[in-house]
Amino acid sequence: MATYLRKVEKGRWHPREEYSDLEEGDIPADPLGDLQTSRNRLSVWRIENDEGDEEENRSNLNRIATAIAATRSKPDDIHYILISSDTLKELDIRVETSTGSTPDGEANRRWHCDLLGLSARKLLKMANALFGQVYPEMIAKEKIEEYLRAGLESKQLKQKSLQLGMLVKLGIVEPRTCPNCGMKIEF
Amino acid sequence: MAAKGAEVEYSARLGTHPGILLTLPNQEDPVESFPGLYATNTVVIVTSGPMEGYITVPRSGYQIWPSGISSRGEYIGGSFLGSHEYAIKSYKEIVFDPESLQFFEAQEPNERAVLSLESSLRRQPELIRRIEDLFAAGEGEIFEAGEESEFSKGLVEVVKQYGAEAVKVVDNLILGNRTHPTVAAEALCVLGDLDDTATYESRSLLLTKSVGSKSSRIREGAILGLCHTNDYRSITALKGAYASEPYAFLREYIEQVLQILEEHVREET
Repeated sequence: MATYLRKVEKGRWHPREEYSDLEEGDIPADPLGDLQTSRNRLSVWRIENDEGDEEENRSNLNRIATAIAATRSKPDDIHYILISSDTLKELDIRVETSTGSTPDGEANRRWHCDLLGLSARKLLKMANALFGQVYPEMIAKEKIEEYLRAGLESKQLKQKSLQLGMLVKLGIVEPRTCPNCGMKIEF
Repeated sequence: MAAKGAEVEYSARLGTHPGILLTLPNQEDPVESFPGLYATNTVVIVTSGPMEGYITVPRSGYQIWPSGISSRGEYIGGSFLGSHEYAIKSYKEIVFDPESLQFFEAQEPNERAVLSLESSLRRQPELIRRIEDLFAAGEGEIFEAGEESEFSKGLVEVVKQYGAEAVKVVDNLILGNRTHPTVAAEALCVLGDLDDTATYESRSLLLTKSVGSKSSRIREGAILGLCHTNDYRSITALKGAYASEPYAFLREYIEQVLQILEEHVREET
């Protein structure tokens, strides 16, 4: 069974008990913020799950998390939810491979996908199905920094595609200095 | 005032000089003398020296963590979640009952706890207003991991400018439940990530206290913030938080943070 990763923000997929003003059967609006579509498509990443070999499970998870992290302006925790293909099938949502736009070209080609044909109703149905069933998982910033450095070293990440602020925070490049006053420029 | 502090019985281990305990009136009635300190959940502990560790209020299970230590080690302001029935009737009245309180992790007996509350606890109203405004504006922001927000920039700036005093005001806002949990969680992450030696202790204490919050979003922010501080002393608090954490996903976060902190300890040794 395939699994798809969707990056989310912390605090948005907390359990129902956290919302005192929620009516029976309703879900909070915040998770919808993590399901923002473009041209009725939702960007997700296919996670490798080889059921025959436990070791292989989620074998590309860290790489995908690193690719996503590499699009940011500074290292930070990555939060994500995992959506099973069964859930998508039940919701009649199709998946199509597409090219991602992170600094990891191989990850973009191999694992990036779009969920297709999403209408407002379908999206809400999906949020309903996911809320309370999936919970966010996290890779801490400290690990992400390690993966980013390794990714740059192995050239799996294209350095020129990373933001300057990120490279400075990782200690890969020196902060720029103002030619007039000599102050270091903040990012 | 001081004599009562000396009467307190406690189990002594770490830290020094637990002192006189005061609480302020109810939350609807902010005390003008101590702007920023609202009462229901706020306890003020006056000490004659620095103090580490925490105080519990028996029968309630509440822990009162010191959250602001003056440069002279004169006082500690603490907060706890819960009713104030254990404490005071008036902020000027010392009402702690030696039998109802236990001081833990205190190293030496409190010999004397004398202080001028007014001078040491008076906050700068403009600082309080600035931080309250910052948090209020933060409620209108959408926070995105890996990106600076106006809120995070403002918070870093004010903490760097005012030091532990600013952290104390943030402490009161968060632990007094006077801000939205999402903003509180963001603040805790930002404070954990801040590179500022001068406020390291006060930030660490706030984060440690916040892992016991009733709000899962605040607990999440505190767990992530503690990871960023790289403070191995928080391992004990995190293990405690793990034991009482009702949500599996947050227990998994704690496990990961513990692993990172323990790796850090191993590398150091």
